[in-house]
Amino acid sequence: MANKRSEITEKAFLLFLRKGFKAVRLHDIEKAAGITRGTFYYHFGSKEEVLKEGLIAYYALINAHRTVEFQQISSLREYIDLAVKKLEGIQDYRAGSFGADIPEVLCLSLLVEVVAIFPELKKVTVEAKMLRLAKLEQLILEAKQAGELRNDVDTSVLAGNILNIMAGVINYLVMRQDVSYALSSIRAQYEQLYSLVSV
Amino acid sequence: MNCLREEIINKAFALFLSRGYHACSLKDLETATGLTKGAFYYYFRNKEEILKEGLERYATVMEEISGEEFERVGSLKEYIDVVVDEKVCRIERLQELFGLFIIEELYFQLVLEVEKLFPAYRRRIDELSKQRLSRWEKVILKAKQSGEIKRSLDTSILARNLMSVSGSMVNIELSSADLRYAFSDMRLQYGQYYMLIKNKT
Repeated sequence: MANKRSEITEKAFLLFLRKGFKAVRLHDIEKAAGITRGTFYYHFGSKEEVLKEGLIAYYALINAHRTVEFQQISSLREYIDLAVKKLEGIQDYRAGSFGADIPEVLCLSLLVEVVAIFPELKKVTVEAKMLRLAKLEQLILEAKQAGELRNDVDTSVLAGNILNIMAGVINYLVMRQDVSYALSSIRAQYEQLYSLVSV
Repeated sequence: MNCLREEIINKAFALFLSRGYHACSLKDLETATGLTKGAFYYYFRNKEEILKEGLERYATVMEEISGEEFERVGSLKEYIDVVVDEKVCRIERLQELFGLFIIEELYFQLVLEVEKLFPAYRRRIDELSKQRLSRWEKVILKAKQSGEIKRSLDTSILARNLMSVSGSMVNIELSSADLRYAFSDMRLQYGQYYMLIKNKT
């Protein structure tokens, strides 16, 4: 039964990502998960509950995934290449299955819609952000020691700079502007910043 | 009487900013303002009217430095200070007006949420961000020509980089805002960019 519950959560979450929270009806979730209304209410009290569970499950996955990713890279160059590659994936992302490969920016634009209803969900994203910031700082510190980056660059300020640039995509998504333009702009911003901070 | 009306607008607008317009029910507004439905309808026709007046009031602090003042800005370093100071000033004025800290990004979010109701506001924000970008580009171009910063830098990319720095404010919560921290973070980020791009002479 626990499996059914997570299956419903995952199917519903993918729907929310594609259509937005408000636009998804209970009927859509039932259809996607192949269940009756009775089964839905056996597992959940409301649409809100499904969303909350989905977001929490997603962030647990993405945090674990990032921890592994950071273990596999050893330079800022690699990090930037990886970040750009992942951002580019947004364009042909079709929300096929539930997993850590769902771009976080898509969840963030969903969050913009629902954070008004569940302020407590902001905590989940802030925690994920703090984890990423800490890992990124560690990476920058090591890159400075390895001679990849200039020593006069402040580690945590640079980490903040890098995450801020990435946050630019969210603005484009929220404003519903041209995403491919946003991505090329962000790639260029990363490259310019990298050329400034690298030795 | 006018005083009470203003107070209602302030409290309701704060609620719209933190929770979103559509998510606020009339009941929420009544609770936040301490009004009964009857009193509420004595002052306002509907929720939309409050939103409109709140947005108008907010708009009075949106202006940036004038074109002439902008022309007088002598260097990129000076302009960075102008931008940060403007941001601080705006927050202080908003506090006087509404009695609370308001982060510009939350206002942008609200405008986007209600763009169907007030399309003109949406256009105003688009214009504003275009103007901001073009001002950054002008200042950067001048700084490259004067030798203040490296000539090899791409003007429009750097303009976007520098604009993204003030976006760091988006993570600050409306209620628990520690603005001193937010601004010092912003200043540090600008400071570092500047250190990286200036000419070493």
